[in-house]
Amino acid sequence: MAQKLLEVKDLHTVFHTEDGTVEAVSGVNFEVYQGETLGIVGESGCGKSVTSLSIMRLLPKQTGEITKGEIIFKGKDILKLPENEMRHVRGKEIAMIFQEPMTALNPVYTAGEQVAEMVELHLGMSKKDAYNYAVEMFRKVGIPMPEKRVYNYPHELSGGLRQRVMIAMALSCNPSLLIADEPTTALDVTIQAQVLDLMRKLLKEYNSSLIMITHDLGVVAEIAQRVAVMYAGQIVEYGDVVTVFKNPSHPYTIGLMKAIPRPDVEVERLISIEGNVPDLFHMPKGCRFNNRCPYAIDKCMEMPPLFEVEPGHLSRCWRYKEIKDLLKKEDGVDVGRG
Amino acid sequence: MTLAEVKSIQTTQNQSKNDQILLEVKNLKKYFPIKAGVFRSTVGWVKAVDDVSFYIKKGETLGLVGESGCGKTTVGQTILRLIEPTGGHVFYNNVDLFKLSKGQMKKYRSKLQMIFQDPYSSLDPRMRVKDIIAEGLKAAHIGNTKERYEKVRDYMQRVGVSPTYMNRFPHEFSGGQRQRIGIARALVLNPELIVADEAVSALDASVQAQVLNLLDDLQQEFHLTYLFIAHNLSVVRHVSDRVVVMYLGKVVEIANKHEIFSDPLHPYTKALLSANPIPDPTVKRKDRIILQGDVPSPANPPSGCRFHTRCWLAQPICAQEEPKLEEVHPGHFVACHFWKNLEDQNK
Repeated sequence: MAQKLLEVKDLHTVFHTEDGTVEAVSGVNFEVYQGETLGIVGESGCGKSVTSLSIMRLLPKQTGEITKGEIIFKGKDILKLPENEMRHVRGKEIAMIFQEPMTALNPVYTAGEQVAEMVELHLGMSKKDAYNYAVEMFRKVGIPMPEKRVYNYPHELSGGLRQRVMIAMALSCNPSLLIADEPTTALDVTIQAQVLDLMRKLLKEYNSSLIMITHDLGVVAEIAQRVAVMYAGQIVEYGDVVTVFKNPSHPYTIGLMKAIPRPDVEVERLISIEGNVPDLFHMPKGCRFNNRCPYAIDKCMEMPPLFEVEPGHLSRCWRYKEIKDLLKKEDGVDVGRG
Repeated sequence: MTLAEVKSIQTTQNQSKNDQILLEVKNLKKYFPIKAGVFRSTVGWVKAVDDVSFYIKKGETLGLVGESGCGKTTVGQTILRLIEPTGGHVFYNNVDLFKLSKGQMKKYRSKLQMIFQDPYSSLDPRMRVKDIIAEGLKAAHIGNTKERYEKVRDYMQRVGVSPTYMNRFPHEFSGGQRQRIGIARALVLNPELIVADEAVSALDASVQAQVLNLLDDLQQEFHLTYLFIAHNLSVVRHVSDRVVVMYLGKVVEIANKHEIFSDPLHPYTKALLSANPIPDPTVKRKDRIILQGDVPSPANPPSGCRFHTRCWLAQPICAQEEPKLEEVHPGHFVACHFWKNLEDQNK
């Protein structure tokens, strides 16, 4: 088996707000192996972005705080590193790609300068070498006319090109781990296909690992080998992509899969999950999904642990063993629809 | 026979019985001026919608799909004259809406309603929900205050928001509930046609399904006709009876949804379908088409066929001659010189 690159252990992240302290991430555990892609999928407010900011230690200083847990990267707990050492990890060892390239890029520097700055800082290149390197990186991520594009400011580039600049920047120091937070959500579908294709190619070339954070199950299915489904600050299901999609064992995962219309299969009617995502101030007691779950029983007033459904496949549901039979009885619908 | 097949037979039967055209868009044009210099003189035009024609049958859902900048939103807004068109006609029950005066148009406003994309910015934050929903009634001089609020209560119930919340302000609701309020506001005027512009794109997956199901129920109950504008192909496939595909201000293909999805005849439609991620890791995509380059600027569109710069079937003629939108099979329109090649490939 490939080497374990990152291990997140019992991560708790809180935010101190005017109305009190809320826990956005409550005890998240996962690992990322060398060269693999882990998808973290969930709806807005489930804590997927806060998890990634915690790994990068980029939480807002005044309000965000990691209260518990370890983040072991290459055998070292990076939560214990002093800020100046963390700065060498950030960008060089772990790089991040953000959703909105327009706000993530600095509008007063050219695209080339921003890539060059990374390699000057982390690899100690001279200004001239760094510029040539930036051109090389631009070519690698498929930006046409890279010699010219390095002199463009972000606002002069299209959304797809900006996201390519972000990818060039993230990959410029050859990091072992990339974290991409909804990198294709702001892009059109034909451009999304280009960017995903490019990322897949480059990950292979660099043998880097990727944490892909997204709300789109389609994107996860296309790019990830393993997936963590998050709901209300916790991982509710975790495992190999094929297993989780074919044999989902948490009612929330099942609900999500039934709720989204598919491009390749027609259904008469979507089956929606009733109600809304709970807000962080008013978490339901016990299992956090119990107020929306069609299979909730009395036992669900207690918080379920992550059960092992099969080796490597975890589900945070008391009824994980019966859930398949319950579904079959209910409507004869094939859950994975496969 | 599967459920989908039964439904498709039923819809064809319904169509033959009820083929009445509710709205017809003919040669619609909307150009936006590009202004520059101290005196803001016009230096060029963005042809956001350039010679677009299609029709919507009574009781159907017509999906209008395309990427950002293709003009789909502008089409929706010009049909309702929320922005004034540059040219063309829109016939609603055989009345040309573009020929009406502002006063005459008012009479039609209640019949043609809109649901907007962003449930956060489309509701006035300083108005109570009951006044937001009743505003259209008030503008149309329907009923007195008491009767109007009675109607508000009724319609809130129907879209699934408790009427006890009618005195609250929009910020007190979640995104899904706000979208329901937006739907109630459109519905309360008893419209015939609703233009839904990206009505579910801002919602989370679980809530999106609730709103899509609600729109479906309301269509049955009130015999509504929808123009459903969206960029998400899966959603369009789910809701539509027929689909119009736009690219850079032009219609490239129109067909019923079964044909669009199983037998696309325009290369752009095919590429769009191929780019759409499928939430199933075991589906192997054969002949995946990944388009090169970006969508060109509508201020300076390519000559001839506007898609030729990204098209893998393009020949010299595509850069010179613009293909006409032709009916190649009954009800299936396509604007491509080489649609036959694609049809052979599909087989």
